[in-house]
Amino acid sequence: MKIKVYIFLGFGALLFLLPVLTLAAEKKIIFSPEFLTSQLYLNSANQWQIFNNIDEGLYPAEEGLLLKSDGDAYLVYPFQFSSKDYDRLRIKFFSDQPLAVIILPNVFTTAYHTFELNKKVSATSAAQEINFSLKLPFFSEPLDNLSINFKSQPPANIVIEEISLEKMDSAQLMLQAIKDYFHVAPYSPFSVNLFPAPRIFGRSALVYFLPIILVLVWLFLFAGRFRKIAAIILFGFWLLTDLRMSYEFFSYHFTDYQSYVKPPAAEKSLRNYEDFYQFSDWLKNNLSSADSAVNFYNFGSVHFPRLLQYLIYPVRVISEQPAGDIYVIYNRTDIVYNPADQKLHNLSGELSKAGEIVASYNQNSFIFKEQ
Amino acid sequence: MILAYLKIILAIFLVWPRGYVLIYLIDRSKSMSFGFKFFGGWLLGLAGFTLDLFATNVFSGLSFGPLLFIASSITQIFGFGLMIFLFERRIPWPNPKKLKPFLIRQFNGFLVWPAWQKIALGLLILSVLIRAAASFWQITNIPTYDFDAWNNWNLRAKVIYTEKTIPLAAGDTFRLGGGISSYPLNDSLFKVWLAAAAGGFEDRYINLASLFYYLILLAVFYFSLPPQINRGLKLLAAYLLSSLPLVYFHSQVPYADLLFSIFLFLSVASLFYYLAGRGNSFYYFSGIALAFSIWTKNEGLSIILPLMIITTVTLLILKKVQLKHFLLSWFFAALTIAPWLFFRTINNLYFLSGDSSTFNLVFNSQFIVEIISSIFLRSHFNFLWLLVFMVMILNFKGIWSEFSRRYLLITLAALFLFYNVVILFTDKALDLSALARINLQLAPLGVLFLTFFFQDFFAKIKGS
Repeated sequence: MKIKVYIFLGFGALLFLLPVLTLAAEKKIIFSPEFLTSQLYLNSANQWQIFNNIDEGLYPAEEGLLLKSDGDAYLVYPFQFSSKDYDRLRIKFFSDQPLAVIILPNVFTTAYHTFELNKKVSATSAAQEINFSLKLPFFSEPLDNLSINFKSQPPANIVIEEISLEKMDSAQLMLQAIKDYFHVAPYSPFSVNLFPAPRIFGRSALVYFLPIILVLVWLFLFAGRFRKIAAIILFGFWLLTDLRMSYEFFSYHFTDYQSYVKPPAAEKSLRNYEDFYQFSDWLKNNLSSADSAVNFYNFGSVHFPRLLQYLIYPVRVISEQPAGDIYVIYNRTDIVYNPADQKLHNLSGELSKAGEIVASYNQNSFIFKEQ
Repeated sequence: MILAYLKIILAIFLVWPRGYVLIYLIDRSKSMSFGFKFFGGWLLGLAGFTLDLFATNVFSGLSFGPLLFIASSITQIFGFGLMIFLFERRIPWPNPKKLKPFLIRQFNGFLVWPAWQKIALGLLILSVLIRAAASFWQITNIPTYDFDAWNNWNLRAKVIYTEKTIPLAAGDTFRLGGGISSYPLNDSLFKVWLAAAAGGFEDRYINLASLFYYLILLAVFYFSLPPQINRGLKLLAAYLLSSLPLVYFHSQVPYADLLFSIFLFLSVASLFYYLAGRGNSFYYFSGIALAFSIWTKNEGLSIILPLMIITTVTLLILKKVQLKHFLLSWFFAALTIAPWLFFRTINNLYFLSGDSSTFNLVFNSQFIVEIISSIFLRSHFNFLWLLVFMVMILNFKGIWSEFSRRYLLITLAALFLFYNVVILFTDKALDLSALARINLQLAPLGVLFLTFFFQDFFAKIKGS
């Protein structure tokens, strides 16, 4: 009897270790100073291109190539592959500004995007390496191109040393599955309805556990011999999901703490509404008690006018209409105050009668009052 | 700040007596446990209090202030007290001398629990405390962020609190507080009360309502379970409910879905308990809970009311309930919700979700995968609905053989189907934003179904 158990355990261990013993991952460099100057690349029809940026060049710098980003540059490589060929993208680079690095497959057509393809990195002077798993549904069919979007608030100097594609081995895939499972989706205005976690390889994680759960429930109901163990494992699954989702919520709390609770007032930023709550507090402090309505012009979320209405009630918020004599402008670069005629102007001409800016929140956000 | 929180706790307690007196009055068959009456009464107190605030304000014009708050929190106590006197020929004054022996009895009862049940209770309390503490932190530090909160529920509370009345002028953007004006005001008026108690309308105070709803849902669920349910199973069921991700998440989200889910649960579960032989009190309580579900969200009027009409009429035809009780229950339910129904009728308020009373039949085939994924595979509900439907299918015969279980199965399945059919076959699905939330409303019933299934299942195994 004991021998049978040992054989069973041995096979189990072997199956578990097998992925680790497989050969190292296959790697293809698609960007590096050497690669970009090689005859193979120079003779190829597939060339890296830079879009949405004034400077479309790459310049030799230290160990890599310098990209002078205006703040929203796209680096696009028209290279056909699918996740069957390569399922991990590795970028080795450094930047003098904090960045969001976003991967967009087929950027000129579908440009599908999920939170798994978005990474925030801090400014560093030494090269750092970030990895993206491409084991996602978007990559299952061959792509036409692969785009890397570098987003930063101010312009950034980005030195890219190497970009490579790899095929993960079984052990790496398993590790990636675990990483995916604990990858928390960012809180969005729709999280309250449909939070998109946890996922593995871009699909709901429960999909992978579903067959096991179905078998366990069947065993629990109909196989008296296995009832106890089935119940314990089912409860274990429940507990695991509970812990995973609790981790999700605590991550939200922690992110909120880091971005909104901990920083001083001027640096507070809440999720994708960023500093809007700080702006509304500032607005409340700078409106006089006699002000009963404001004409609100904003950039950013379409929700801002209604949100502001809630935040500053009983002051009434009129969105994008010159209905009163007070104008509240939030992050609008196209609305400027002209000192010559003392009026607000937008691209189509005069927006207001003559007046003055009574308070400024930042360069593009202020309160203007008509005379 | 601490004083403000103490005032909020006091404000929450102040709505309890009128609710307890009402549930005491309802419990003529003396079949409800003290715990159920204590927490169930709290909910009746909360909803009755806000309904009185609403009715007094809109029909008499009395503005929101100390007089209205005090009147709404205590006047009904005398009315219900008089009715109790007519039934019992005595006034059940609270007796502080009974408190100490009661507590000692409870403690002694706890001491004889098996060790594993004590540990299980400790772990349950600890996990709920951790969740509650996290939600408390979130609520008290993060301003109102979620769409329907600032666009509807909290906006209406803020407008009413600021104006000290419910704006009624036709054409006013802020009529009935603004937002989606056809929605009932139970949640918003409770928040007005919390703001008044705290001395100012601040998100960190009023959003505590959601945490209160979560805790009271768990308490009322646990104490609704009858004594014959194994205590370990009760604790397990309470844990399952407390740990449902979307349910717990809504303890920090200022929406009314959690409050609605409690009244929906109470209405359906009470009828189930009545059919399981726990006495007429539950039958009447079901009607009152239904009335308050209508006062909490429009789904109460457009979905739960028709379902309960069909159910109770069927029960009458099947002679599961006497005509007298049927009529009286509906009479009291109608009387309870009359002010809101009367108001919404004369003001032509829409009765579907959003500002609409119409819909078109369409087939949103593109939503099928999304619906299945969202309900069964995305962990909003752990794997509750997988379990529920597997049990329903695989053990259909066993469940069907007992009438009360059959009722629960049919009601749960009907609600589930109806809720999701609205998404799948009408043009009211919008951006699917309500999909998971409406299924959240059914989650306590799903856990209740599993609890009784397990109870029956284990009893059968033991017996065989």
